[in-house]
Amino acid sequence: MISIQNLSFAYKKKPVFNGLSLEFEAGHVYGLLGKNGTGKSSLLRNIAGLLYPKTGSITVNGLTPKDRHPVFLQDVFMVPEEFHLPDIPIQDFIRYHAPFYPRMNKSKFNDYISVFEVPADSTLQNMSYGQKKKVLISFALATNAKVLLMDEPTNGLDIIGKSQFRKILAEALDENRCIIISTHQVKDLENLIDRITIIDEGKILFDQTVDAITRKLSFRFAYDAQDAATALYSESSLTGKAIVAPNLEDEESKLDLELLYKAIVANGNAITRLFQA
Amino acid sequence: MNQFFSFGRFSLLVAKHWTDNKKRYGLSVLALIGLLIAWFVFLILTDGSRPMEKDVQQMTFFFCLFSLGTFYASQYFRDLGSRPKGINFLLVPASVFEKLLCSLLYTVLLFFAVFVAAFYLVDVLMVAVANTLSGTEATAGKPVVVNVFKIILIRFNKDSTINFLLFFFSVQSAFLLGSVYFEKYSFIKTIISGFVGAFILFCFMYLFNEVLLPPGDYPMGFLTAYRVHVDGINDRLVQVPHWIGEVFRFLAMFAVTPFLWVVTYYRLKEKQV
Repeated sequence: MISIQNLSFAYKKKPVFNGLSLEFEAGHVYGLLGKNGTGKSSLLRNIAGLLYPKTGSITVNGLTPKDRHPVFLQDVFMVPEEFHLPDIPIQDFIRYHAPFYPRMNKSKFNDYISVFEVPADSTLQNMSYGQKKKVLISFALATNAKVLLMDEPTNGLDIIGKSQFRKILAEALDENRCIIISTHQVKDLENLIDRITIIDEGKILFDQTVDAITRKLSFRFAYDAQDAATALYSESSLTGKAIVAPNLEDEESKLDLELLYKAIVANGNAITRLFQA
Repeated sequence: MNQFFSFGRFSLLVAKHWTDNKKRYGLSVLALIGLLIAWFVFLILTDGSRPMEKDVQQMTFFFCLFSLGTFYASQYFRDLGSRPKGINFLLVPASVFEKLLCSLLYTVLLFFAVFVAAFYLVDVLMVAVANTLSGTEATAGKPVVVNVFKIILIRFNKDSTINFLLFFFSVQSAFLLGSVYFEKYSFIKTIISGFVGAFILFCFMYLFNEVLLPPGDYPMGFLTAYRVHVDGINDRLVQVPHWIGEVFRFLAMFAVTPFLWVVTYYRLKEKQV
């Protein structure tokens, strides 16, 4: 669905990616993690055709994003971290913006905003940032675009809003759609993401499915001091030492994205070796 | 599906632009009408003997046309200067050509139509008011509504004229290009760029005349015939064929505006946010 080959990209003289290659398939929710300034948003904007690669290529559904052809834009929707919506009533917004998307489902849009508890007869001008974001997310999902790019989608949502977002996103998943979410707030999306891609300094530090991660790694509290010492990563908490360890006993553990991210940043080479074995 | 132009998509884009901006546009037209009324009332009150003269109406029309037309054009693509708005604009599923055509529909056609309508609405009203106030003076001395389209041709030199409206559309298209080119303060930056461009052109022409050409003048139209001064008796006239002069004239009048639109198209096509 999305193929990135040998991508190099730079802001004037500041290089961001150098020879990045990645594939994103339909039917998955990808979590794009990484430190600030590592290029997550730039990657999303390259995929959306808002930024152009210096060298290398990107194809989305067989099309080149840089061309920004209408047929491409109908199938790629981006929810940016900073976004703009016109100061018009929601009903006007849906009436005049929805027809650009051939697979738009207006009744789904109404369902989503009602889950988000946004009154359908309100005006965007009078809404808070969080409410506007709920409208934009509802619109993005209702377009049925094959590629959905979300940059920090839970930023600005309240606690209830985040839970509503998870519910709506889980509902909107289907096998024809590829969703890429760039986020720092990993806890918000832990149960939705099925493939984790960690970018650091323009390179892929880690790229695995959640299934593979939980098969190879165990996320738990250390049994004893020796257990903690042999872990790939450990950190103290009030209830004990949380560790990431090789899953040697085939035990089932719940993926802790935050812990995984810290483990990869602290001990990436050992974890990569474990997955290559 | 045609990826360059589809009338259906273009219509959607026009409707979307109107919906997103109708409040701003409505208020702007009301402000224009208010300003014109205030200006004419000021003139009537301060110059009661000869209010609403033709020259005043013409000057008001062209001053407002140029200042507002260029300002509006310089603001059309201002969204591209802001990341959130720029993303919103560029990701609308329509082609670059459709987006440019929509900008031309609003900044050139609709702006001009609405401006002329608003101007005459106020002008006719204020001429009537001025006539009422002037009372029983002779009809010949009374102000009349000016036909601005009769005086759009102004003399440039003894041989040629400039079509003021075509000149306006060229200037306006330069400001439209400026709104894509400059992310911030596009109106001011376009004016400065215009002055810099004009100064460079002036320097080039000056050097061309003073350094490259022998002493002489242009007796029959600028750039198409040059009289080389020798001693007043043996002066020589160098003339390019008539059709070349006509091509120059045609290009100056009709080609500048479309050329700037084409540049705007490519600039818009390569825009990144």
